[in-house]
Amino acid sequence: MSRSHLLRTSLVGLVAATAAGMFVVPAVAAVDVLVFGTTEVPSGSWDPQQNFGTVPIQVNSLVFGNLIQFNAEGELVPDLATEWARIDDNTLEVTLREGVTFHDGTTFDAGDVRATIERVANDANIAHNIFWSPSKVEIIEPHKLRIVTDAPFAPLERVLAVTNIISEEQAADPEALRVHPVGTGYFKFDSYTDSVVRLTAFNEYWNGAPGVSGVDFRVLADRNAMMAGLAAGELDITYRLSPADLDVIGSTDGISVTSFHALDNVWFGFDTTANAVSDPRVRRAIAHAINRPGIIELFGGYAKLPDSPLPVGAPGYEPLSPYDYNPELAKQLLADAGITDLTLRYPSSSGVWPFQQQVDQIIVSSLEAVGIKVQVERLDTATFFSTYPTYDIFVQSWYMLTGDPDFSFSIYGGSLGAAIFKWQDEGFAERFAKQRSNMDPVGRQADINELSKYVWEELPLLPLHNLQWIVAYSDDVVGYTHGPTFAELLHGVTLKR
Amino acid sequence: MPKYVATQILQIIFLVLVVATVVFVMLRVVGGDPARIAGSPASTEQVLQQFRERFGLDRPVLEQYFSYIGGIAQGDFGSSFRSGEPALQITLKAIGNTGMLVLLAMGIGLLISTSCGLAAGWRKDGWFDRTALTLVAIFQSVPGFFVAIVLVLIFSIRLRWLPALGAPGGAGMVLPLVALVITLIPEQFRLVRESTIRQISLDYVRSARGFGLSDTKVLFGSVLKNAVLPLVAVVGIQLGYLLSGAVAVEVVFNYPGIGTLAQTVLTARDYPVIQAITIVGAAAFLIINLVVDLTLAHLNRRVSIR
Repeated sequence: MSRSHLLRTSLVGLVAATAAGMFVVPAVAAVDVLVFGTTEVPSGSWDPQQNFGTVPIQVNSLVFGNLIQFNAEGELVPDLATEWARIDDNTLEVTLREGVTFHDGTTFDAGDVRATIERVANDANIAHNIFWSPSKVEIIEPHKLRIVTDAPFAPLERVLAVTNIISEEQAADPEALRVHPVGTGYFKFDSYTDSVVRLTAFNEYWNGAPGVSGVDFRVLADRNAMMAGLAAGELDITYRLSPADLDVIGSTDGISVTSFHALDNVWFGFDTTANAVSDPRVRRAIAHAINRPGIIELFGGYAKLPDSPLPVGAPGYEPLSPYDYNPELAKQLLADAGITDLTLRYPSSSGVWPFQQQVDQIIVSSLEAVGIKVQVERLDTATFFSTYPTYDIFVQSWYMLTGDPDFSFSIYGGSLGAAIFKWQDEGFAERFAKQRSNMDPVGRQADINELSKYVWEELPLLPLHNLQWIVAYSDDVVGYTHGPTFAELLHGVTLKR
Repeated sequence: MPKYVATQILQIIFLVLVVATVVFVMLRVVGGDPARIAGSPASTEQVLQQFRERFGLDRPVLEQYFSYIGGIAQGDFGSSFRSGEPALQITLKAIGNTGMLVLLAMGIGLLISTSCGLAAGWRKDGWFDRTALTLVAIFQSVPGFFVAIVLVLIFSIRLRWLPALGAPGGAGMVLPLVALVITLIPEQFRLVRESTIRQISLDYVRSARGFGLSDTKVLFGSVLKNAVLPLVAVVGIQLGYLLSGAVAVEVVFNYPGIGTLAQTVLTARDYPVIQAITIVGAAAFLIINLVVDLTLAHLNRRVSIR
């Protein structure tokens, strides 16, 4: 018996040791490499026009250049375009920067801009198409062009500030773009292996080499490990933190914590064709039933209570009459709508947004308090993301990627609204098109207010909270700031270790 | 013997096939569409379909199954949905990292418990014995993950002596190893201690001492060999527990072993890697058992194989 155990143990050891011989020690980041920690597992697709994930957007903001970009104050500043001007409501004339090369050495010119814009603006199978308007690009000179939209398109400049310029070659070869993007940004994409996305400095960048030799995005399996890694000095920056994460790092020396308004909206959505929630009166009753102030309290000052479809304080935001937490009114509205017995299916998953379990508990108890029965189905994260639109009610989020209200409203309409809320509403479509094409800023704001009011009444989704983004970073990082979007501004960042 | 070996190999192939089939079916039953997980809310059906076509998920399930089994037969487990790397390569790396952690933990644990157990047993009720017994009682009552967290707080965050994030080889292994070794020591220590106490009460030890042999010679020349024998029986069992314990420790330290890999790939529904982890694990277990049986038969003529 003992000999058998000894042998088995030895052989297990032998096999494991043999396998151990195959392991490759993950390359440790060099001293002047900036290391981000994240628990978001990137999908492995780096096509900048097909992604809404945080890590891909951060990575692509470093690998690619845009014609225009946001600075830390949210102002539009030149990037690959040195000048731009409206010729008429449908036309933007752009002068391109000269002497810019892609990471593979090819020269950047108007052909690349045309390939990029005509791909994203006109192909409905490109994810970022949802915030573009059909357009064509007329090349005047190799470094001068005109972007001509089919209809007046007010958000164009802001849309350009989140449109990464890809090369003509990669526009024609999406598979290459997906696995190994080549841009004009100040970092080159190196690899995504061993749960590390690795970027290296592009020393031929038109504005000079960046202040660090590379950036690693290290994907971690556990949030507590991520916070410990930051506190121990192995990670430089962690972001999108929950207030609860701050308990782990506490008052650790050498760590700074900052937060910024990420224009993030976590909302409660409805299948507008399902059961009684197809009636807007019932949706409004539910809005009064949910204890949203209780949800806000969970975040200890890092979230705001929405009183508009647009995040509080975002461009275009105007407060509307809030859906106060009022269970008695909710019961009355349900009775007025003739609802006596209502059961709704709700998917619950922890680990998607901060405090999600507690938020779920508040939602369920709020609904049950007004007589709505809730069938809660506990799902793992993967199943949740694949199936949430198949439920009667669900929680999801949407942020203002372009810093323009047009983007926030894009989720209500078109294929996106149809897929998530099964909401195809002519009243919305008309108002959406109107604000989009109004080139007068004052007039456009009035249109946005009208659109806000309309969707606030129809309520295919109820914003639950506008979460502040919490970023914690090591004091070794010098010059770190954040703009209004997920894009990183790291060109001037250095490390003092 | 050849007939026996052939039968066993066929059995292994059959069992691996069963495991491969079960994991294939379970992944498709449990829900979670890999295309939707990899895509975005704005991904159109055509884009999702492109993803499915890229990884063969658009084909009829039966066709996927036979292609998958055929691939396994040739050592091709497919490519990761996330990174595009071969699934087998990713799995072997992680198994290797976990194997190294577990084996080192076992080796260190045996070394410490044997030496401390001998010392404690040799001077029963002495100060070292009492101190060691108190310590192992503490180790036994504290869960491994808790030890891991305390270690990180003290040695990584407060003192900054050791990395909080684990890595194979070097300083990145120290804290995960300590967390695992602490869970092993109590049982091993008690066994060696009890066994040592029993051995020194036996006639051969009294005789050796009577012949004037020094304590060191008696301890290392005679007692050690007999005192550690009971350990052999528990090492195999502990190794199994250690593997499961390693999964929790890996997550706490983000050590790149099979535990962290499994967590990541399950969330992403990275079918090829999940399948590779399950099949390679099952195959390794079955092959090891066959080799053990054959070796035992070879060493011990009383074990006959027909």
